[in-house]
Amino acid sequence: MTDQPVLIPTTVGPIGGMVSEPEGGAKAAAVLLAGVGGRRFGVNRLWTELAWDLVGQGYVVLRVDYPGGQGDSSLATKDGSPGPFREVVGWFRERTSGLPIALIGSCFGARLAATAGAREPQVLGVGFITPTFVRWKQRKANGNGDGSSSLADRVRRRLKKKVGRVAPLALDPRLAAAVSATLERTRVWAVVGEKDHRSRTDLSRLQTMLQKQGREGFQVDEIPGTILHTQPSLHGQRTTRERVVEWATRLLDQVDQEVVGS
Amino acid sequence: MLQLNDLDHHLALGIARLGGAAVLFHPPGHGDSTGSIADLTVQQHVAAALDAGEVAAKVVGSDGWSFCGVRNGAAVAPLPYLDGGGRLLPMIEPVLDLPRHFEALRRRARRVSLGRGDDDILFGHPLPTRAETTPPGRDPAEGVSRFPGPAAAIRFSDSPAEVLPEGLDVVEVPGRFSNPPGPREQATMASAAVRWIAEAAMAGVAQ
Repeated sequence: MTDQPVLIPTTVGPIGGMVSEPEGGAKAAAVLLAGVGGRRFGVNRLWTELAWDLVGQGYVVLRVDYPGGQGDSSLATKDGSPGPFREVVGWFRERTSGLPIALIGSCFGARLAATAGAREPQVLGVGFITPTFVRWKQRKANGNGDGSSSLADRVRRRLKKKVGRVAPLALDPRLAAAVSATLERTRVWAVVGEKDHRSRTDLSRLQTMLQKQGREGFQVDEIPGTILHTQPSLHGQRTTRERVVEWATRLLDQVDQEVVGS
Repeated sequence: MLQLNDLDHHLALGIARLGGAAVLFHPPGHGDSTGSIADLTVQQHVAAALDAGEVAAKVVGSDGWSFCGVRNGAAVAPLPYLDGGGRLLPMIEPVLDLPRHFEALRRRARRVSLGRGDDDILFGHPLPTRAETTPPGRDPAEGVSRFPGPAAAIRFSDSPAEVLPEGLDVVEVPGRFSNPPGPREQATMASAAVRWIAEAAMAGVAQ
């Protein structure tokens, strides 16, 4: 196995990443996308070790730093739009000689994976790790640095303090459409901890929305008694790696069967 | 390392803007590196720093690298000098008393885990408990005292009291210390460190 650090040129500046590759060629490619503020290595090296695990299954893996002042990515941008990530995926595709690609996104990275999954050719599968699909404000997600917040945000916080809870933010309709389009084209899967309440709510509402559209939902693995968002426990980190690797291995098996069947 | 990643990058970019070269490396068990965080010792960390300096010297074509330590990295930064490295010694919010620092981390871990027994895990990271002690003759404070070149502690004006060796430059940045520091604090601290490095390097050239 080899690890190769890369700086990927995009329209918003360079995005830092690492490509891990198996000896003797890969069967498929995978991109790991962290959430806002995420580094390519993750909490306690979670994404690094996951990449190495996937390399062991025959994937060539790219993991990247989130742009906007994190890791080796450009300090010039605070752009949270999916555009740069499509450029990243395009850059990786050029270098992986048409291998089918799996897109794996954690938290905000799941949105980017879903958006890319709806458009990219030859997508092997899209995996979500504790995804968030609510309406997103760029300023809020990236942290505007001055600690200010909108009136609506302040009202929500006060309400939550007084009443104990507030209604969850609405699902982002563009995201729901992207997941729906992705489902038409490829396999979608998600993993979430039982205690990841927001993510579970998002997934549950998304599945309901898809069912109303007459679509079949997608498989969601729920890990009992665990928080996977922020990955505070070694058990959660281990389980995340195991589940993602199991899913990615199933994807490869299915591809092998399809090749044999055709 | 993870929480101070932006500070490291600001520092490296600041040095590069002044025409210098800077290298960031991940110690064993961290970031992109192999190895185990639980097995990491101070001596391994020092060896990794020297290796990073050697690789960087080949890439940039320059020797005589200095080592900058951030938080408990400051307990490592003076030690490569004993093995033959370092002209300047900038240390940001230095932690030189490692046993006391690790005890504080354990207390914090205990609080965060609400006493569930994960005392050696903090925010998902195992504590590198083998890096709590230094080998004989490798005391960080002594390493700082014996460092022959310019050395400084760059810290916020209300930083927690840390006993620093005598004779060390102390550069105080107005502001509040928080753990972990926010993005703005990290940028401010990195700017102050770059200023000190530039001044110390220029003074060295003048001599």
